[in-house]
Amino acid sequence: MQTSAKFKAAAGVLAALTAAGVAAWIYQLMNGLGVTGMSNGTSWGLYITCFMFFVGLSAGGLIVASSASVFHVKEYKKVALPAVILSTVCICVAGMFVLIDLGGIQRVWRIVVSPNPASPLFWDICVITLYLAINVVYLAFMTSRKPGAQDRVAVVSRFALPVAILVHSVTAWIFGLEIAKEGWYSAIMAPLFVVSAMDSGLALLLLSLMGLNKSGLFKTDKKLLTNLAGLLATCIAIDGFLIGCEVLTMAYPGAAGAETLSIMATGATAPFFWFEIIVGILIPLAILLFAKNRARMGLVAAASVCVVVGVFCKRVWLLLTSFVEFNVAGAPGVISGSSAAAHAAGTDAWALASAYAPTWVEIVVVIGAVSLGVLAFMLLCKKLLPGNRAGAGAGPAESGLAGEAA
Amino acid sequence: MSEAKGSHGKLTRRGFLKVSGAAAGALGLAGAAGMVTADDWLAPAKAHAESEEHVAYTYHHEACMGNCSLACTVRDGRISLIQPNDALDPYYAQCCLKGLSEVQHVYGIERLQTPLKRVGERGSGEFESITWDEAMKTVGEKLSEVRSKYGNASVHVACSGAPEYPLLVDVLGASTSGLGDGLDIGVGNGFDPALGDITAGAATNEIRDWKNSKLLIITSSNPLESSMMQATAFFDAKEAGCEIVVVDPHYSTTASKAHRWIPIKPGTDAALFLGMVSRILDEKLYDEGFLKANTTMPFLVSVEDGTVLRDHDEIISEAGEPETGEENPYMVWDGATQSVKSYLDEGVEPVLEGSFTVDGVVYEPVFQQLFANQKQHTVSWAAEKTGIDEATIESLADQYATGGPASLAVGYGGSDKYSNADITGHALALLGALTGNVGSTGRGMGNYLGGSGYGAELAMWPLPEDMIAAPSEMPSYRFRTEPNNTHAVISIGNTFQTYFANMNLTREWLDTVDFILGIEIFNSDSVQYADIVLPACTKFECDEEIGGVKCAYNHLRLREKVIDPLFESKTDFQIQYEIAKSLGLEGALPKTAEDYVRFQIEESEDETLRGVKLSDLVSNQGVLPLPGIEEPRIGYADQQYSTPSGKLDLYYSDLVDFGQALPTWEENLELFDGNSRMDTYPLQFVQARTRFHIHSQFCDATWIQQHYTPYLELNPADMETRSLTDGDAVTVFNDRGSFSCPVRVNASVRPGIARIYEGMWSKYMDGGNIQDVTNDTTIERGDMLVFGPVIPFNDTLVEVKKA
Amino acid sequence: MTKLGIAINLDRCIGCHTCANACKMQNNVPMGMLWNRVLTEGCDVVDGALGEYPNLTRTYLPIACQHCENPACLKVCPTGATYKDEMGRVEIDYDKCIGCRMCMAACPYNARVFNWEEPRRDPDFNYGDKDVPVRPKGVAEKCTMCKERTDLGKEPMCVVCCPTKARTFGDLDDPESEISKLIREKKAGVLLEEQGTRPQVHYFN
Ligand SMILES: Nc1nc2c(c(=O)[nH]1)N[C@H]1C(S)=C(S)[C@@H](COP(=O)(O)OP(=O)(O)OC[C@H]3O[C@@H](n4cnc5c(=O)[nH]c(N)nc54)[C@H](O)[C@@H]3O)O[C@H]1N2
Ligand SMILES: Nc1nc2c(c(=O)[nH]1)N[C@H]1C(S)=C(S)[C@@H](COP(=O)(O)OP(=O)(O)OC[C@H]3O[C@@H](n4cnc5c(=O)[nH]c(N)nc54)[C@H](O)[C@@H]3O)O[C@H]1N2
Ligand code: SF4
Ligand code: SF4
Ligand code: SF4
Ligand code: SF4
Ligand code: SF4
Ligand SMILES: [Mo]
Repeated sequence: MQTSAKFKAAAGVLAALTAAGVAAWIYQLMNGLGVTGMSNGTSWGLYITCFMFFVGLSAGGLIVASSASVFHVKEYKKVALPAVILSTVCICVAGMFVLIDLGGIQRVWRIVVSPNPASPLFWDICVITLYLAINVVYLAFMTSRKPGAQDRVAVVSRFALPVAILVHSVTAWIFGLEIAKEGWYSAIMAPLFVVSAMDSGLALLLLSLMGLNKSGLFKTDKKLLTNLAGLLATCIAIDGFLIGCEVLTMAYPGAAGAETLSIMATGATAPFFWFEIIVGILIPLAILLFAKNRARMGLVAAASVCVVVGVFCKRVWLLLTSFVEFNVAGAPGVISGSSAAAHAAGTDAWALASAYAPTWVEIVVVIGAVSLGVLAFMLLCKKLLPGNRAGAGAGPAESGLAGEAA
Repeated sequence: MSEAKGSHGKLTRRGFLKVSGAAAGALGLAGAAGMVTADDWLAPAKAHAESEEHVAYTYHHEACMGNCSLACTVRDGRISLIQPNDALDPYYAQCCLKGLSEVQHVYGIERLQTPLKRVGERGSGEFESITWDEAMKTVGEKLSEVRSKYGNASVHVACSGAPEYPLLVDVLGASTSGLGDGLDIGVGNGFDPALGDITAGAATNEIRDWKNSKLLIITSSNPLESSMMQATAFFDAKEAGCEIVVVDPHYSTTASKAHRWIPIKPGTDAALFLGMVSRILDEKLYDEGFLKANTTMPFLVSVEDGTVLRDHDEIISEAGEPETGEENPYMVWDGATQSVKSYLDEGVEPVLEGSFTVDGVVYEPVFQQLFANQKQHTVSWAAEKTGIDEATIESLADQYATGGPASLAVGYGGSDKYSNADITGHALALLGALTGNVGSTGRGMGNYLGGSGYGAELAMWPLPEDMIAAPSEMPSYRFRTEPNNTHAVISIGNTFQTYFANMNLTREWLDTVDFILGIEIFNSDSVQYADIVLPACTKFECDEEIGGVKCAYNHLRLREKVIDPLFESKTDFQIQYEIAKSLGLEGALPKTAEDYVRFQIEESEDETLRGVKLSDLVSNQGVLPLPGIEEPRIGYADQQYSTPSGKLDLYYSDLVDFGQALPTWEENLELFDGNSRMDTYPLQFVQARTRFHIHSQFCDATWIQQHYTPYLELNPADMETRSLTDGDAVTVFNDRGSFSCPVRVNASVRPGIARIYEGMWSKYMDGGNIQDVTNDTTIERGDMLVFGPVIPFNDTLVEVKKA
Repeated sequence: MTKLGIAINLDRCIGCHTCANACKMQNNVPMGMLWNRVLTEGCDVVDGALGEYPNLTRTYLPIACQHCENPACLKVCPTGATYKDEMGRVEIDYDKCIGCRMCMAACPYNARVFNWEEPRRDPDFNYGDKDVPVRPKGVAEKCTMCKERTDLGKEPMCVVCCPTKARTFGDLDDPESEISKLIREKKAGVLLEEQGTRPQVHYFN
């Protein structure tokens, strides 16, 4: 199969965007994180939001693929390969965001030589690395034509599933263990991250598979998509349930939690909160609850987009709400920490409540990183998916093509 | 990574700041007209071998009367660290955020770097950089011209609080203005005559004596911002069980730290005091014995014309000196003999009440007259005037009179800056007298700014007899409205902006002056009007080892060189010399500042300085405690006052014509209930001090700007009626003018009042200057008072609207 | 053992911000940051008041790193850049700091500031104590309890300069130290006790 002109054009655009992102990142390296919208008040922003988001997105793929082996869900096997490619790319993008967010990336090796085992970030980096390794190994075995590779896939997937759950949990604990932040400090954080990961990951997988269908790189049978959509509906429902639990716990005592809740219900992060509730949960759930709808690919796609965007909004409100107010309140508040034009000088450097908006630098960097991810996904699919491999024989993933009759 | 390790020896990006005088001179010029660009004086990077560090001592500011002795660490020729001088007893080893912020401020962007010549209109701020030679040539020519045309007295020297030009006025034979010209004298006008010492209201006891009081009333003052060095005494008193009551329209910092805050309607302190007096009289809470023994209360006064009965009609000496009580005794009614007697007579038992006819004229003791005069000042009347309820006034009076030793502190802000300030001062002295709260431990009254501790008189440099200041033609603010002979003004500091209310009038006057010489450290508002500007050094810079000496907070304090003069600036001492030299008058001046300082100390005739050598100060890190300061100073412990009678004088016979022989309530000029002007300008405009600034100083200090930039404050209620929200830009206006700045909402501000901190440079406002609206009206009685009329800055009405 | 701490007498604190600037000066803290700030508690404006005129209250609250015994910032720091030293101070090894800002999110007191950019100093040279390390961009910083001074047995600069002597510095482990006595006698409390950080900065009235 020839590399189509369309593919080339898309790749070109993505490469250009990636280059722009790299340039913006170099600019950030030279000038410091002051070029972002972050400040002492809101010390994490778009990058960490994207980190959480992409860690989650990578879940769907690996969970689907490994369920295939672990729980012998036959149909899932068919999409295991594109699913793992997606998972691998997403976790790489997630990792990139952690590095991009570091103020002292040149000292990052310190984590290796003097790790602090009490730090959730340290563990997160460990599990993410492990997770990435598993993904790569998984990919290697799946695409290997050596005999016995198939069995190894089964072995790896037994590890993959718990590690995937762990990645989301540890990422959740970066936030959930912080007693200082009212909106984060909650035992539900880990389960919440896991289901969010599942629904957004599944939704992205669905969208990717549909995309591959369309591009002709890889064909997925509609029944399987409908099946996956059903799973998605379940995840959304659980997600909604957990958010409900959390909100109730915050609101009921009428204490500090209620203040945080009011910020997300009516305050600075309210648009994100309500968007996620309505567009991220209610609408897709309303669509996918009906088997009839699950069979209509257009609706499934729409629901999936809603879920992905909704979960992104959730990451936003989850992260930022807890930065808005300070535990010790009083004028002049917290000082920005920056004298650059982005943050005002004099008394304007203070804030009673923190505000944050990403700057163009952050946006360009994020676009660049995501573009790089999409590009990598396209290239990997092109290279690894059976339809494109010369002399595709009885490879293990070959079955993915089987029974595709729409 | 090596980047994180200490590297103070290394150069920073911008490079190494040049400090040597000569090199800096050449540098400053390079900036041509750019007198305020920082890059000019930050010389290009230049290698510097090793970090060299030493500590030098100087004193800081005069206006807060802290004169804190600062230990300054100098590294590579730059001030790197400032801390209180640890040679002082910890009680006195103090400084505040402004002192510390000099690490930045001294190098600030608004420093004047070279002499300047005005090229634009007066006030336009357009200048050209010139050399010192050229500047001094012009100064000499212009001053000579004016002097030869209009006489030496036609040169007027106006000098802000901090600069040190002790000999300039005399050498030039010029006229001068200072605080006497309407500033900080409002209360003193009414207070000083009672004690007979002309101190502008200075307190009778020291702040360290507060802890011996059972009650300390602070009115019209916010010492925890305006005299931060009194904080220790304040809290020591509080912790020792002295109840502290603050009377202030606003919930000031000091009010928030007191036991009790009594909110008062602005401008009505006299009414409060008079109401308290009535309560004390009504309940007979006064100290009769004290009144008879130590005050003029028994003196007989003619009911008809208010004259005081004396032994004979007063004879004024040729020199204009009035007769003393000894020469011409005051008469009292002796209770024992039921006859008129000299108050000095042995065994006389003066009565306080009654009416007596002497030679056909009816006389009453002052006290009897007071009784009558107080009829109009009932407690309920006072409650109405002041907005303080009767019970509070009564209990405050009771506590002050009978609760044990009590002190009464008043400020130079607040009630000092209203037209009726002298009445407040008079009533204050009256309160102290009635209750005997003066002249003993725990019983003090007056203004405690500067601690009111022990002093020592430094020697005056002898000048030839013909070198003497010209008698004051009129208070300087009148130059603006009355014909006068002032043709040249030497403005040292920011006098044009800070000294006068109603700035538009000031501008008009400045246009008519032949020559204006401005001497400043910073590019302040007043500089904009000068024809020639000379850049002065800060108190940290000196071209010789010793710069100056001062006496403050019970210590002699030395100013040493900390760093060399920055840019082309010169010390005040040097500039004074240069000005004298431009007229060929320098011969009379000391050659060096060190000579002068040594003379001031070593030639002093003050007992307390006997035997003290300059070298003693130098070897003790620039500070020496005055001898005998272990116990707090108690003034008038012998109950001898400097009045003609030697008694605490509450009867001001020279004010009989104004109905103010005894303090009698009088409304303010603008601020009074029912003033129709309030229909248009309903808000009082009050200007207080802030810990963040010294008047107009530190507006430009970036370390201070991190904490404070100018804004107006309003009570939430006044914000609401004007539909204003916090942070809005507003215009404050009346028929005199307007200015603009942001507004902030603060519940500490009394409803009906717009509060701002005074002094702000115009360039830090959104537009205009606070003095554009302030009241400069003076009252007729003012001319009869010791210091002349006060400028009633706070007696100003304005309206505020969204800009 | 030594456990250094500071006790602040809130009754004596006049909200003068001297400690804030003393700290800035001593520690060469760049523009846009302070390690020590003075809040007017619960108010939207400095020197504001709670309540309605004339029933008003105000508390000034100087706040810097609390040198917690159970420091939230320390646990989360992935590289061990944040550490508790032998004198009980919580310190940062700037060489190890990767600028992840875990510590900033974790600190309940917003005590930390970050070098978001190349530090800009005004005046443009390294003022302060010559032994204080210069921090590069990209690292977190905060009150060190004036490590460079307290190492030499001197008091922290904010303590030296406080004009009301509201601040007392000393060893919390020594029951006879002035600070220990004050804390006992005045029944001093800590900020946000419920956070479990066990601050070594105590406040009393
Ligand atoms: N930080 C700092 N300290 C300074 C100065 C400075 O500029 N900055 N300047 C110095 C100089 S020159 C002076 S004159 C002194 C002045 O120092 P203070 O005498 O303390 O004067 P202010 O701060 O102007 O005002 C004191 C208080 O009076 C209140 N007030 C206003 N109107 C009234 C009134 O009608 N009645 C009563 N009872 N109170 C009223 C104000 O609300 C304020 O809280 O400060 C000196 N100290
Ligand atoms: N509206 C209003 N106006 C007021 C008042 C008010 O309450 N309301 N208060 C009044 C009172 S009480 C006073 S005392 C006056 C104060 O009036 P000023 O004494 O004029 O006030 P500052 O702004 O402190 O001015 C000092 C100037 O001297 C300069 N300077 C400082 N140190 C030195 C030095 O060592 N050498 C030289 N050459 N210059 C130096 C500073 O840069 C500054 O410009 O303001 C009065 N103005
Ligand atoms: S401004 Fe502050 S440091 Fe300077 S003399 Fe006054 S109180 Fe002392
Ligand atoms: S220096 Fe002292 S009085 Fe001033 S704000 Fe700090 S702790 Fe309070
Ligand atoms: S106050 Fe914050 S930064 Fe300081 S030790 Fe405690 S948690 Fe860490
Ligand atoms: S920013 Fe530095 S000190 Fe803070 S947690 Fe990260 S590595 Fe540790
Ligand atoms: S102890 Fe030192 S570092 Fe900490 S706030 Fe005080 S001055 Fe700053
Ligand atoms: Mo003054």
